[in-house]
Order: sequence, then structure tokens, then C-alpha cells
Amino acid sequence: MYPVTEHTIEVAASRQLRVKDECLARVLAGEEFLLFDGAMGTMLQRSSSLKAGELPELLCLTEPDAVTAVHRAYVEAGSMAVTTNTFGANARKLGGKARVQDIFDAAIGCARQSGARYVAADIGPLGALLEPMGTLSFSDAYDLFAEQVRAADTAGADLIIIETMTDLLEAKAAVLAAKENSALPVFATMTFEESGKSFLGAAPDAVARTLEALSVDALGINCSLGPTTLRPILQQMLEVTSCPVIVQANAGLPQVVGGVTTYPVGPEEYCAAVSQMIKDGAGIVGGCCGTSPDHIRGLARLIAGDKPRKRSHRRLTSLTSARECVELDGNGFAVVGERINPTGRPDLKDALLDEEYDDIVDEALSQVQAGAALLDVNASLPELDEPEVLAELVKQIQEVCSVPLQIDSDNPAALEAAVRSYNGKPLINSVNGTKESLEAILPLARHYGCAVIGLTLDERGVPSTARERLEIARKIVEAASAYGIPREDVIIDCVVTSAATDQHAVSEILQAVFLVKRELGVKTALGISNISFGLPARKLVNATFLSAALACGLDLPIVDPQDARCKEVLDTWRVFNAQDAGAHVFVGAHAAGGDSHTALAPCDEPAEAPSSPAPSRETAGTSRLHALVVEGNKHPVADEVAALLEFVDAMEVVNGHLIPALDEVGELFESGRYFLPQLIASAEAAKEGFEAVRSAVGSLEHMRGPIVLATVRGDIHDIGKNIVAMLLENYGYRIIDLGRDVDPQAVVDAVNASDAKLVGLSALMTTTMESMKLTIDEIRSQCPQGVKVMVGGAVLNEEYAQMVGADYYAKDAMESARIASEVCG
Amino acid sequence: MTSACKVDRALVLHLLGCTGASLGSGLDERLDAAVERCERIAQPKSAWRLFKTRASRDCIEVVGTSPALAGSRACEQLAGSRGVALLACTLGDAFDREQGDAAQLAVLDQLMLDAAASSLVQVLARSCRAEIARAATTRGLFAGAFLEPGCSGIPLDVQPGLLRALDAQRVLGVSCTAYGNMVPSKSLTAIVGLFDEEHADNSGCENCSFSTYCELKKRGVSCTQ
Repeated sequence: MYPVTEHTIEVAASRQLRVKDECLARVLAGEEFLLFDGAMGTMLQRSSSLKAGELPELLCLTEPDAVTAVHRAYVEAGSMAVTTNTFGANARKLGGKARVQDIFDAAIGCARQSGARYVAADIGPLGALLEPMGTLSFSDAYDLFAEQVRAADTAGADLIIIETMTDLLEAKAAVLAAKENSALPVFATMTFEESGKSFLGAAPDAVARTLEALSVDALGINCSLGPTTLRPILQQMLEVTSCPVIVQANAGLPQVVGGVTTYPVGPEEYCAAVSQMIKDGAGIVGGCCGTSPDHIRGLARLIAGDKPRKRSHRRLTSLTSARECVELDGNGFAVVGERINPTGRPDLKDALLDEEYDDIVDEALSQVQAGAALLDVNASLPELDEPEVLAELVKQIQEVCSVPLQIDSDNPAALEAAVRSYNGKPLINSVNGTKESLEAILPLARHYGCAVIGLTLDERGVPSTARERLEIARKIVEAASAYGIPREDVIIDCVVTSAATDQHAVSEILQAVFLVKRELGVKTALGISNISFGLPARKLVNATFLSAALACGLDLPIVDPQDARCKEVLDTWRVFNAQDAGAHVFVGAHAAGGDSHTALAPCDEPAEAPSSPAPSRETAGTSRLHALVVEGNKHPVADEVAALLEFVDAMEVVNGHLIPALDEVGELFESGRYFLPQLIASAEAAKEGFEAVRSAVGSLEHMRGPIVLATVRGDIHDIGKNIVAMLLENYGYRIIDLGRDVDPQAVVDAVNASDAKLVGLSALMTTTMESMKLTIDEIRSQCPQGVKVMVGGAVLNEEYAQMVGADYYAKDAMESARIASEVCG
Repeated sequence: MTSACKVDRALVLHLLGCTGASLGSGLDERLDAAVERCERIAQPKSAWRLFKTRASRDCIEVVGTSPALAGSRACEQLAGSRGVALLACTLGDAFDREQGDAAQLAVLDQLMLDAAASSLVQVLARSCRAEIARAATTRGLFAGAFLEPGCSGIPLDVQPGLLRALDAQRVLGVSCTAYGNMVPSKSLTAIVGLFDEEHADNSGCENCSFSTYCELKKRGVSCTQ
């Protein structure tokens, strides 16, 4: 049985939009213009007692006439909709100075008194950045927005406008709050910079696709730049969305110099620029900072008696993160990296169980570097709380990895937890043809704006023929359509089974891919490596099947992108289907290298051993490896280790070469002849050496530790801690790195779970040193008595270490190694 | 305001704890790459405004804004001022994203990039201070020391009010966490007193309340540099 989901899908699925009148309905259908108002804040600064830094929203309570006067000026200029003075009216910004409901009641009252046809309840950013860039959690952001939405709805707004967002994830939290707490139409706009991206890096096409998938009623751009600069950004949005598109530009870039804020674009110039955007297809217009009733009066003349341009665009399958879109167009395919899946991966399983995500994130980055356009993310283990772990894993990967993700689970609760706070439009993997799955997964995909992979299996299992697979695919596409999921957001996976168990199935799978594309017109995915279960030479089998599937039109091959054979097949197919225009990439990669498989052919003559370059710093009594580490020259280290391992065992390489080299580097550092950069360069070189030993002989036993490391709660600076972690790892300690901004209890839990004898805490800020003391106090009260604590950080010293109750002060990374040796041996 | 500015390489070496102008073969190239990368990804922006001040016994009120600069150190630093310039500058979020992606960078490259960015934000702040000094001169005033919250004895808790007064969230995209960490991280805020006469700079380490403990000071490095 599927678990019961927590959120409000039922409410959203039955959400009946409450549209005030027929005219607004025509606006939402793109058949009528809607003219908004212009700036509120800059107008209020002129007409009220508002001071810089004060909350303009409070004027709704203290000077309602001033607020109403601004609204009225816009209505007289021609605004059909006015925006309430509630931009920052959230509980966080109000800080107890007023109740959210009271502000919305007053603000909507002011707007109504102006005689405006529509009152748009304004919701701006929360004034704090969301995790991972900031510290505000997605759910806290959602709660703050939800309170505003409920207040706006109660107070009688006609629509919700979410505006001036720089973070797509924050916009998503606001949109979900609006959809789940109100039936009013939802408009959402973001701001963009000269770079063409939002301040937090969101791309216009990714924004438009994500917001449309979330079922906003209109989307677009406001604030930031002047109208001329916004036009290319608007065009990118218009190209990918069928929603009505909003433009509310600034009257140019604000110039804050010498205490005076000015905006350079006057009404005439503003209207000339907006008229171009209206021709492009914008249907909802108005102004933002620096615009005035004169600007709006000009816009009213511009649209009088006219209708928005009818737009059309190609509906393509697309997936997004905040920063990147993957679009499946024509014959092109996009590679899905399959490696983040604990099935058959004990290392990944251990990492998930220990909540140590660094290696998994590295794996994600490696796959992207190898050519993956999307990453499959799976955390299905019976011993895990899958919803919690999958959501955290997605967050961790999105923090460093910009490609869209394919969220892989058959557990609806886990899928919901992950896609709810996913930044962008993800791909759900997967739904299947069973009634239970369709009813559980498709509403999730619809509500959270996801594309979805449909597996061609049902209550009878995986069918044996291509035609039967096609019929299940048809059922999934139709069911998705009934939930409002467009055809382009359904991708069919014809389910690969092992060639070892049923050889005849292979041609049926391939034929099914061809049929699904031809008869249903949808895109296809296949998990390629399933084909080779039970066979030797799996990579050869996988690559051969991959090539055949691509010939049948496969769009999303789910593969290991680091597998050389698969990569060669993919590179070659990009030439065949013209994705690699002019074969430039292929030629660049293969022109000089010849055929990488010739080494497998029998040869009569032994290959000539490559000659080693002359050592550059070898000294009497030390090896070349030793010299390379001391020099910090990491690139030749792996080859040097491989050469040494032909003559000596692994521990001799470690204890006879790497560790003595590190000791020499330590002495150079201590004596002031080496500085931090040289110390780290040597540590990096040594790390290459340890890795080379490990890969040659399997896991190298950690002889010492473990040691728990963390940057304390409230502090987000972790470079110093990372340096210590790397150096201690080189000295053979197992490091449990809890990261930055770590809660004291998490440190305590890690110490108790690992039986660590030493904890290292770092703090850079004076304000976070209190957290350091608190963490040490918790360790003393909850951990065994023998646990020692060392502390470090730029503004710490011996006296402060004693004051906060630490056992040791590590003034630098070398000192931490000495302390570790004393405590852990 | 947007400035095109260059990393101060000497300051980067200083921040890395190095003496001399070179790190030696191999490392100099990596430092050059970090500097180039930093200048390429940073989106320097700044905003400053002048405000009048009104002094009371234990508080300097910045007239026309909601924040007030309370506490003895702030009052000492700004005693006799006619006004202040409030300043915020940032390298923008592109840099933090690059640091976020720094999992693919070696630790040394992360460190060098971080130092380069710290240098760049200081260069940006210096350029703003020069503009403030010029603006002060046109008003017949003299710009005082550069007082950064968290340094120079100015408490970090003035940071949120200072950011609000500059509308920094909207104009620059800058906010700060409950612990006073700037977001984006390579951002800074500062207060510059405006005086009738040239004013002695007493913002240095000797006047800092953390002076007794500070390891940076022991190494001859100042957080205000």
C-alpha cells in the first residue's frame, strides 16, 4: 500500500478558480489587456511621512488616506488593477509591529476606496534568503506566505500577485502557498539583472516553464531593469509559455547617490519601450519602481481599444533546475546519469545511512562533467526514512549541481517531499499503468508541476510484446491528460528486462520505443543497464543495446555517463543525429586518439612503456613521490604511486613515502618557509597519492579516528574546516565532516554514533562563538567523558579556547594534526 | 552603482598569510587563475546614502531612518559627527554560487578564490569610501574612518537596520542572517562618520573590543584592511 501523503493535494486538485468577472476571465485567457498601476514606495516617500528603512506597509494603518491617494491617482490614470501596499507585509518583516491580517484588511480597504476594478494583493520577497544560500527553510517560507495569502483572501482581494522575486524557489513557496490556501488567480513575477538572470541565477526560460507548470495564471517580469533591457528577457519567456505574460518594469535603474534616488526613464520613453513588448505578446502591463501615474496614463492610451497579440509556441518536453533547462527537441537525446542509486552500491548505501552527502554530490558533479544532462536521484532503502532522505539529497545536489533532476521513487510520500521543495520543474520517475500508481502519482505531478516517466507495466506485470507495452503507454498518457498533465510532460519507459532471461524481449522493447514515439508522439526513456544483468562483459552489452535504442529514437537514455563505451556510443550518435553540429566535438575528442579498443586486440610486440619525466626536485634519500608531495605537484602522483606499487606494498607507499613527505611539509610550514597555499598544495598532492593507493589495492584501512568536524551553528564559513579535514584525512584519520552551520545536537549525535574521541569545531564570526560554547557544553553533558574538543578559527586564540571550555586550541591545520595524534594516536 | 574593479593581488597574498609577492612556480599560476575567476564571476554593486545624525548620551540616532547606533563604541567613533554615510556593497550571488560549485574545486583553489573575493570586496568598499569623501567635501565636511559592523568595535546587530535604511535587499539583493552573516557572503556594510574637521582614524585594532584575543592582530593582519 502507498503511504498517505501529508499535503493538500486534495484541496488543490479540486481547486476551482474564483475569478471576479468575465473581463478578468478574458485576461486570463489572453484575450484582454490588463493594466496595472505603477510604483507605490517612491510615491509614498513623496506624499507621506515615510522614512528610509521604515516599513511602508504600516502606513495602511497610520496614514490610510495617503495610501488611498496613491491608488486613486493610478485609477484616474487608467489602471484597472491596483496593487495593495503589502509588499513586505509578512510576519518576519513586520516583526510584531502589526498583525499580518490587520495590514491586509487595511491595505485592501485603501485599494477598494480608490474605485479600482481589481484589487491585487501584493506579496513580495520575505527579506531573507532560503536555504541553501540563506538560512530560511522552504517550509518556514511557505508558512509566512500562507499567512499572507489567507489574510488577503479573507480581506477580499481579487487576485494574488507575487512579485520582485529573485529566487525561483522562494517564488515556488509563495505560489504553492497561494494555490493551497486560496482559490484566487495567482500572478507571479521575478526580477532579472543585466546578466539576463535573476539575482540568484534563475534563467528566464526556466522561470517561465517552472511557474507555468505550477499553474500560475499569469507570469512575467517586474522591477530591476528599465523596459528596454527587459525586452530580450521577456522574449525568452514568451517563447516557452502559453500563460499571459506580465511586464512591470522600473523606470530605468535606480541611482542612489548622495541620498537621492532617481529613475531616468520618463513616461514617453517608457511607453515606447513597452509598446514593443506588447507587440511581442505581453498582455498584462504596468510599472514598478520610479514609474508614476503619467507612465500609466501613457500605457492606457497604448492599449485602448486593442487586444493582446495571439501567441503560439511549440510545446516541447522540458525539465528545469532554476538555472538550466533541458529541452527535448526533434531527434536530440539527453543523457540521464543513473549512478545516484543505492541499489547494488554499498558505498552509496553507507553514505545515505550516515547522512554523509559529500561523496554523493561529487558523484553528481562527475556525471555532469561526463556529459549527463539530467541526474536520476534515488534513495530507496528499507532502513531509511525515504521522504526525509530523498528531499535532503535533492537539496544537497541542487546546491552544487545545476542540471535538472529526475526524482526516482515509487513511494508517493518520498516523491512529494522531494518535488515540493525542488527548485525548478523536475521529472518524476515514475508512475506505472496500475490504477493505484496512476491515482497516487499523477496528482502529485500535476500539483507540483512535474513531468513524469510512465513505465509500461500494470497489474499483470511487464508485457511481453511491443503492442502490449504501447497500450499501457496509451493508458498512462490518457490518464495524465485527465489530470491536466500535457502530453509533452509524459515520457514513456518501455521497461528494459535482461537479455539473459529473455532474448526475444530485446527486439520487443526496441520496437515498443519506436511505436510509442510514432503512435503517441511522446518522448521515451530507457534504463539501459538492465539489459545486461546476468551476462558477462556488461559494458559491451549495454553499449550495444544503447546504440540500437538510439536508432529507434530513444530520447532519454538512463546510463552511467562515465562508462567509456557508452560515452563513445553517445558521442557517435550525436554526430548521426546532428546534435554535434559539424561533428566538432567528436573530431576534437577522437581525431588524435584513434580507437580506444585497439588495446584489446592481440599484438605481437609488447607495448613500449611510457618514459617518466625527470624528477624536478628529487633529493638524495627521498623518492620522487616524496618530492612531488613536498612540491605540491599533484598531477604525476598517481602514476608515481602505480610505479612504486609494482615493487613495494601499499603500506610502504603510505608510511615510507607519503607520510614522511607530509611531515617535511609540516616542518617547512612551522619554520615559516612554507605558507598556507604551499601546505595545502602538498596536502592535495598527498591526497592524490592516498587515492591512487586505495584504487590499486581496494579500501585502505583507516588506522585512526574517527574525528568529528563541524563549523558551528550560525556560521557559514567552512574553508578552514575543509583544510583541516583534508590534512587529517591524509594523516590516516577517518573524518566525519558535518559541514557548516551545524546544530549542537547534531554534533553530539555524531560523536555518540561514531564513538569519536575528538571533535573539531570551527567558527569565523565573533557572533557565532557563543554557538561554539553551547556546542561544547552539550558535548560535555551528553557525550562520554573522554571526548576531547579542539577549536579553531580566525578570531580565536588559546584564551578564548579555554573560556569556551575547549581542551585544545588549534591555531592552524598542522596543529590539528598534532592534537589528533595526541588524542587518537 | 556598479563598479568595475580589480582584485588587489598584494592583499590576497596578505590574506593568505604569505609574505613576499610570489608563491613560487605552479602556485602563482593557480593564484592568477583564482583572481581571473573571481573578477569574471563577481558582480560588484554598491549603494550609499548620507544621513544626518543626532547624538544623545548613549546613542547616535541616524535621522530619517529607523535604526539607531547604540553602544559606547559606536558613540565614541561618531562623537561630534554631523552625519554619516551608510554603505553596503556586494560581489553578488554569482560568486557564492561559484563557491557552491566549489565542491569541484580543489581546497587550495577554494581558498584562493575566497581570498581573492575578500580582496575584491575591500577594493569595492575603498572605491565607495572615496566617493563618499568627495560627496562630503562638496558639503564642506570630512569623511571619517571606515567602520564595519563586526569590526572596529561596531556591533554586528546594527547590520539589519543599516541594510533596511539602504533598501539593500531590493537594490543590491543583500540581507543578513540572524547571526549577522551577510548573504551573499562577499558583502559588507560600513558606516563613515562625516565631520566638520579632519577626524583622527581611531577604528584600528587598538580600539577594537576584541583586541585582547584577536589572532589576526597577533599576525599583523587587521580585519579592517
